[in-house]
Amino acid sequence: MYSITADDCSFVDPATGTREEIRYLDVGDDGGQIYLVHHHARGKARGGVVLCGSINADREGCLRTLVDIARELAFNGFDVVRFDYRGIGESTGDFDDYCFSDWMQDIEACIGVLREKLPGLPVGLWGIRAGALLASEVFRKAGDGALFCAPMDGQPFLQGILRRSLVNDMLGRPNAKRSSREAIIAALESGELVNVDGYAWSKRLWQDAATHRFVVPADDSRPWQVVDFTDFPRANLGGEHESHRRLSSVGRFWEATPTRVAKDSSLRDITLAWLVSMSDFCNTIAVTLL
Amino acid sequence: MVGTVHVPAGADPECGRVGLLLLNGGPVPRAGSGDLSAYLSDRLAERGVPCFRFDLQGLGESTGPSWSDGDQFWRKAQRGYNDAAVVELVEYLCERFKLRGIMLGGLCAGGVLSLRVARSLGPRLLGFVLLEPNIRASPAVTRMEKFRRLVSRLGSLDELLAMMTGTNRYARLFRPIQPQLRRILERRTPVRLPVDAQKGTVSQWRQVTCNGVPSLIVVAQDRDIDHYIENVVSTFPQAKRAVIRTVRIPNSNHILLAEDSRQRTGDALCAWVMESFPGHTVVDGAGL
Repeated sequence: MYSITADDCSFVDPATGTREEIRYLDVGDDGGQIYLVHHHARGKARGGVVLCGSINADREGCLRTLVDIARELAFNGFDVVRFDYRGIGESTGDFDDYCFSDWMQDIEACIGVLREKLPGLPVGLWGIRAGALLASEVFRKAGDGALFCAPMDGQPFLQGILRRSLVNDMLGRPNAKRSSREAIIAALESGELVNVDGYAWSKRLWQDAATHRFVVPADDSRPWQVVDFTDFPRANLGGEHESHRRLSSVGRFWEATPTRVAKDSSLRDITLAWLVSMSDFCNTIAVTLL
Repeated sequence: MVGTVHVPAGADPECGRVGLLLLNGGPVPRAGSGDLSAYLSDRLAERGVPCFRFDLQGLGESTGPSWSDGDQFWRKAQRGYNDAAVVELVEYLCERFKLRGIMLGGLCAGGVLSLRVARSLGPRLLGFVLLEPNIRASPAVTRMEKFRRLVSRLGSLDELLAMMTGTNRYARLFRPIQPQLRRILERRTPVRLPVDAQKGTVSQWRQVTCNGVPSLIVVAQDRDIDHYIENVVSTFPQAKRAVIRTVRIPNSNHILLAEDSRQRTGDALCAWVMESFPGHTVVDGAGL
């Protein structure tokens, strides 16, 4: 149909002096590609991290914060990969062709990029909202550390998106006929494609979401942390964990229009501290093994 | 600035084509709300038109400090913060992709930022794609405009007549003779812009429209912007309005995503481009 050019795809952020490289990466066997941005560490890399953003309208609400965090981490010596899931944003494909299980492959592909670039160095997973859910599942078999921001289970996450979309619709089209959330879910389960904020939700997405739950890393010695936000339901961790940290100074910036960016640096600071602890932890293990 | 290019496959790079550049709809990344801009670019690229989506400074993936306050971005944008970058970008794209010129636009603020640079682009500007263009000034600018109008009333018969026939508290005093005053006013002055319109931006748009630069306006039918933009366009000379096409999408919202709005907007864009630039598009994807 058409081609997406990938030249002129490397530049230096003048604020941090770090290089950013944009590329498209083949994932899966359906010809789909993810849009991937690799932030190269300033100086010698201490490790790497994959930033897993969210989906639907959350994606646009989180993007700039992810960009800021990626640049800060690269400045502090970490290689960072961030990406769009297939069917979303700059990646190829139609949204209704993909679901949570497919997007886990996208994360795994990004880990592969960093493993290849940074042999022997730790690679962590950082996720927010749907990204935190997916990262927790991928973390079962890959990654040297993880940080989960405002994680939720699959279907409650979609229900929350749907609720917000209906509220916005009531405000934006006060006189329009509209369905209830229950009617929309019934339509999804009957196989209809449903337009939610411009994305076509499919039965496959809805049913697949039910099989995805936030997984607490059980008896895991790898450094992991959960970060909740003000006015956001705490993740169900099955009891208190030392690693559970509540971020009270930052609201739900992914919902905040027209700002769409975290207002302070606390999330960046927590992320950097976690990455440094992951890097130190992995170095300690390596030294012990030697 | 970071952007995405949709290049039609098999297109002759030397044929002096036209392209479409979509700017951010406010602080939303370049893919657009619900990936609307990405969708429209895909649709048009399938018709043979190269499309470009770019993040302005501090937005999306571009460099520059992030805008921690969306209103601040909008206020600075209305004072020309992005103008030079947009003009430079258009020139770069025309050179780099050997384009004759560019259609410029975007959703809401993206459309308005396009209008701001109309005169600076000269012959590179081939048309506007204005999706729900909110051409109102921010409250601070509006207060200035109200003050300016108040001052100008002291020395202008037209402004004085407008005040005497308006809805303010002083107009009540003139109620018995208001019909006569209105007739005088209508004979003396053209239709007036809404008080909170961005006058400089509208002035640029009016001027390039009079020079024959076409515009496509897509609005949610019977919503706020629909009526507002109609008022603005009504201030343009009647004979020159033929180059402006307005498409009203029923049951839609401001981000043109409700129900089948996205599809209808894509249809309207492709149809308008194919009619306005018939030599530069491929009908129904033939030859791709």
